[in-house]
Amino acid sequence: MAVTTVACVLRRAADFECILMDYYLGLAEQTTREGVRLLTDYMARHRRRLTEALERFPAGEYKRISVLPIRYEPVAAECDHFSSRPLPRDATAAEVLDIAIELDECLISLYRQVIEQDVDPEVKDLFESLVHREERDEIQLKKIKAMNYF
Amino acid sequence: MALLLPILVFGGLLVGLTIALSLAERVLINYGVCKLDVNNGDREFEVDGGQTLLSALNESKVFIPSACGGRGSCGHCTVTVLSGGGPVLPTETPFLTRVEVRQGVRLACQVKIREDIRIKVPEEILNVKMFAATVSANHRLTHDLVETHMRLDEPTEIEARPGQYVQLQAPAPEGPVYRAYSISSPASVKDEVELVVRLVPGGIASTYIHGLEEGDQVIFTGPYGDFRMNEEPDVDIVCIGGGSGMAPLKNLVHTVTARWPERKCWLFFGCRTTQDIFYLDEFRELEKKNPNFHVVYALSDPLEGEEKWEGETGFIHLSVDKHLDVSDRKRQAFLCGPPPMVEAVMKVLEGKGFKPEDIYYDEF
Repeated sequence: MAVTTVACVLRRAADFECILMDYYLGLAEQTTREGVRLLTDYMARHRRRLTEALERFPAGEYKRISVLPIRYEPVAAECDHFSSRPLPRDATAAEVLDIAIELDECLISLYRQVIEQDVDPEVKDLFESLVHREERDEIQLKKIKAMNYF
Repeated sequence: MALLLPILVFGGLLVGLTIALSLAERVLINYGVCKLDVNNGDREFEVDGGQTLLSALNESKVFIPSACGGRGSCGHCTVTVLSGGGPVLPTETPFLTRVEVRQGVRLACQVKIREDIRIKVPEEILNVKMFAATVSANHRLTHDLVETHMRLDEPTEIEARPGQYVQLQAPAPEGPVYRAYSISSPASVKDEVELVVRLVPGGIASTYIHGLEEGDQVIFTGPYGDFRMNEEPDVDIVCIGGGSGMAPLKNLVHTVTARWPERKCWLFFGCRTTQDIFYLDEFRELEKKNPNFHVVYALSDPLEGEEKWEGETGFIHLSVDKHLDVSDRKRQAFLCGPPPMVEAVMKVLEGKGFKPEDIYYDEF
């Protein structure tokens, strides 16, 4: 397990969110299903949880915690290589939503490994808040799936 | 095995430590009886310290909405804490804006009562009641939807506006959970509450409701929700839904057409296949009787095999775009469905001249 800083882990999470946005936009462009296009286009535009969490964090406080050291281990390989995972052009909305839920889990694992360490309380608060955001998103994705609209 | 044993021992130790800490908190730290003041002395209770504010309020018969049963995942149980709530927890921040945090808004399920506490809740929350009811019917509407009728036993009447919801109690292994369901029966029906519930695979409450039989006893709290229909008869009502988002719209349509037959009312509803269609015959009958009511259903999946359908096709926002005129008439729209549907419909409605403040949608 490598030692890095809070800022570095957050950068990694931000990169992951960007790849995720591109992934959903790519799905929106390639799909043959109008419902999947509507859904993925929406998901791409609403994937800003890290930015939202940081916006609510006092700037001075962020500067202080960003340089604090934490241990970091890359999350599962499937999380890193999801964007190259082939999804057929006619993939259904349910299939897309299942993958989106899995990808939320990737971020949750990343954030949880920080929470489980003996870290500064502000760092813990920030990452707990991020876990909650992702869990909330996961619930919303499950509800969308259950509504059987797309 | 050599690797597994230390993991199991360590895991066991952690679980043991957690249980010991939790027991120690209960036994050793006694917060005693604390005062709970609601709305500046409007209601005052004495509650046991150490429990969450949400359970203390429930015990005191102040029923705050909570769709997740107090697990901190729905963000519905907001109250304003004036004093005694302790610091805001990270489990609350995803649901609160900075302004709300400054104003003292908190999630009642995350606030632990450790001292006397003063809170403020919307006045109408104090009118929410707990109802005991008996299931009078549980009809199957489609392969995964039921219409559940519950006759009220105690209290015997409910005063609810169209678009409001109740929170039904469902048994679960770790204690009862509450889930929110919109009322589908019209506001004029006072002695019964009707719900339309889709079976969610693995869902605690929907599985429970689908298994209910005539004569079963149920408990729910309500009514909740701030959907407010304009009562001026010259304001047109446009209801738009999709998937399983029908219940509040059915309530609105029947309330409007019964109370103001001369009032223009539209219902747009999107389903995927012919198998998912429900209530269409009922609404077509209503359309025949009432020339001011119009119903449009649309199917989004392509027809398969023997399927027959002569209505609209595509997603429901396209049908709204096709059938609804640009107008400067006073209109109010009510939407119920998944957020991407709501977003697509809102864009269309704004193009038709609707002001954002005249568009209401269920928080998802």
